[in-house]
Amino acid sequence: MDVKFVDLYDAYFDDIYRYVYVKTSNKWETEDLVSEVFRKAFENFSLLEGHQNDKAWLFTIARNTVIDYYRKNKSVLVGDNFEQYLSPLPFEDPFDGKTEKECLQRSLKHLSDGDLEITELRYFADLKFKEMAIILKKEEGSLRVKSNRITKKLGVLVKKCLGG
Amino acid sequence: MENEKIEKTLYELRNEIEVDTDLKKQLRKTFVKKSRARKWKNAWIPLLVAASLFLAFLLSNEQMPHVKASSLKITNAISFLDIGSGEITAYTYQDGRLYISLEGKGIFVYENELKQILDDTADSFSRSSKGEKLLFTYNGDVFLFDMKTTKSEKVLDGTPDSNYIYPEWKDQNHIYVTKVTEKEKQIVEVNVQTKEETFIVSGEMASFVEKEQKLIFERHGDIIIYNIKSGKETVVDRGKNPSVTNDGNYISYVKERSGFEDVWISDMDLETKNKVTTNPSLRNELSDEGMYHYQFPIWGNDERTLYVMKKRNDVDNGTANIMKIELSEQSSTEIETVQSYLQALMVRDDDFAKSLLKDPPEFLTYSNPKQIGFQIFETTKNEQSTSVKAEVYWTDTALPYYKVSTYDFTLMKENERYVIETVKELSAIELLSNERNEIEWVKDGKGEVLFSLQDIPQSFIQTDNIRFSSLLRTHDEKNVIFSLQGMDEPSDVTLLSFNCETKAFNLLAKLEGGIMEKVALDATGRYVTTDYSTDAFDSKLVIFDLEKGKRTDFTNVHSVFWKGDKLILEEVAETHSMYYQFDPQTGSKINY
Repeated sequence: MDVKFVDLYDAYFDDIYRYVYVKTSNKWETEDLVSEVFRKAFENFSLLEGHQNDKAWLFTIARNTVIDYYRKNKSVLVGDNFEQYLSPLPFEDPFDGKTEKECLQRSLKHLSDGDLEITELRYFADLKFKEMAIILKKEEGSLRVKSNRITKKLGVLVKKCLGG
Repeated sequence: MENEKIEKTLYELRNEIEVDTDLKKQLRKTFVKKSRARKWKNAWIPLLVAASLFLAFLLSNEQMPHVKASSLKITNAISFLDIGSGEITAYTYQDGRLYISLEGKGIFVYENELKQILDDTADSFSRSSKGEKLLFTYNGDVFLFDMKTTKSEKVLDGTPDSNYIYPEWKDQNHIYVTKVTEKEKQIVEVNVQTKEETFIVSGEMASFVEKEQKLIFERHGDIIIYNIKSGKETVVDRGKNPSVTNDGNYISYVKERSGFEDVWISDMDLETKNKVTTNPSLRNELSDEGMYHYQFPIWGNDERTLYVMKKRNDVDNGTANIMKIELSEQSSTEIETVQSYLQALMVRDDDFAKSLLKDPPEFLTYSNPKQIGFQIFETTKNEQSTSVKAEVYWTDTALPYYKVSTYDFTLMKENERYVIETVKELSAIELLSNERNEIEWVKDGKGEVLFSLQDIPQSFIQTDNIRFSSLLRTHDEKNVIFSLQGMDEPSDVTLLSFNCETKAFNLLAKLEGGIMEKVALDATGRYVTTDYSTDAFDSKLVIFDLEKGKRTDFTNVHSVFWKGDKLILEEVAETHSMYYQFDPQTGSKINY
């Protein structure tokens, strides 16, 4: 595969950054982790040869790095931190003037870990189902169906949040 | 909410996460360097470089730690922007962009190119911006400039008796500005809404450090820290043009000692100071003045980059350059030090080159012959020093002369950084045209004739009135790439190659209406650059891909040197010239 590391870097930095940010909700942790992801990728760049999809390869590193980070820092919980990114207002407390966007933010925290992971990879990391299938080691078709169901679920939650 | 809308909103939420472009740029640099290092001949070199870059990486991985000014080492310095005929009246750095005012021409922004954004010019810019708003002064009035819309509006009028200059944001509604009257210069605070003005202190060019509520300014040749609350003043040093970092940790200024100006940085707490330029003496005369005149050292966003304007003192109406000085807690490795030195010679930044030498000679750079590329191929660590061996390629403009010199650089550590103690030429191999119009390869004083003008097939030669011009030998020594300069008008240039094994000639290109200046080869041996000027005096550059037989043409561009497999080129415009790094493999161009 004739791909230079910087090409990979340029192509996917933003996606990696946003994916890590949505996981940590913290700029400094994001910087540390994103740097760590690319350092690992650089060191293992020779292993990319023969890998079927470079973005999936990079995101596998990113996902494992984030998981490792939270494993090492057990006191820091993804859920707790994620709240910083979401609004601190309780979901069950509807108020006037809430936008659909705000409600969608709140709804995300009501998803299970697995569903949230799929949503993050799909929308925040901008991955194709084919790439997600490689990372999550799942069937592409089942991920497609699952993602569709999650979107519907989010629709219901948003409606509820808006007081509908 | 429909599925489609949910998806759209999720993407909107994604786009609201602002990517840290500074991190992106900083981190990328470490990998660009690492990737380049991988191409070197010897496998151990990348390891050494990677080790040092890993330290740099670790550093970029964190928020810039605060270290003492004296611990900051210069890792690179380059004059990347040359304002040829124009006068820079003011400049400032905001969010990755340099805003430059050129006398009589307007305000320009330098990002990937130098682009005019306003017809107005500025006498001074604010050091920082508030949101998208920058301040500038012109003819005593203060203007607000919106960097997004590039529109400006006047916010403060000077009077016949007093002018405003050097504006600085205090907060959304207040600015500090220097009020110049016939009697004195005062720093005043002005409410830009009500125009209410309050006298603060005598002096000029104030930088505001919000967290400590201090002003740093100049008064009668002293740099002063002024505590706004207590009114206490502390002298930093003798100097002019002070500026502070956005985090308020360092002060930069220009200081003159015995006629030699240099750029200095100081800790805000005044614990340490550090000189970051090495102004060489003027040539040709016993002058007590330095070669350069420095002005307005300002900081980039990362507190590790300084931009400074410099002008040569020995040239009437000398051109103004903007030099970027990169600082780091980590000192450069031995190899990086040699690379920086050779780069500084090639772009003729004598001050930076000199700073890397233990005992610098009086003169360093010359117009001709000049270096056009280098490769580092060996390093040996000794007990007290390190030896770095490098091949340096030389040419003489428009002449059939090429030299490969092998140098041994001995480096030692001094003040926690490597300096070049000695430079010894181990060998020199020359390729030249002798008086019999033969191309000769001269090694260890012995010449070997490779071919003569008469050997070249007549089909490649349009006229008898020709001479050999710029040439080179490929790194594997198998081929000579040479040019024939037509002497008739209009002149033309023929670029050919000669295979030393098969003795075959091959036509690479015909450059019509041209005068050959130089040819140069990249480190991999795949790309050759040809600089020539047309009869209309346009500068042309052609990059030949010897592997694929492709060519890329540029106009108003000069090649400067090959840095490995990347070409440093200089783009020449009417008002200015600037350096870029060009990757011939991808065709991408980045600021240098």
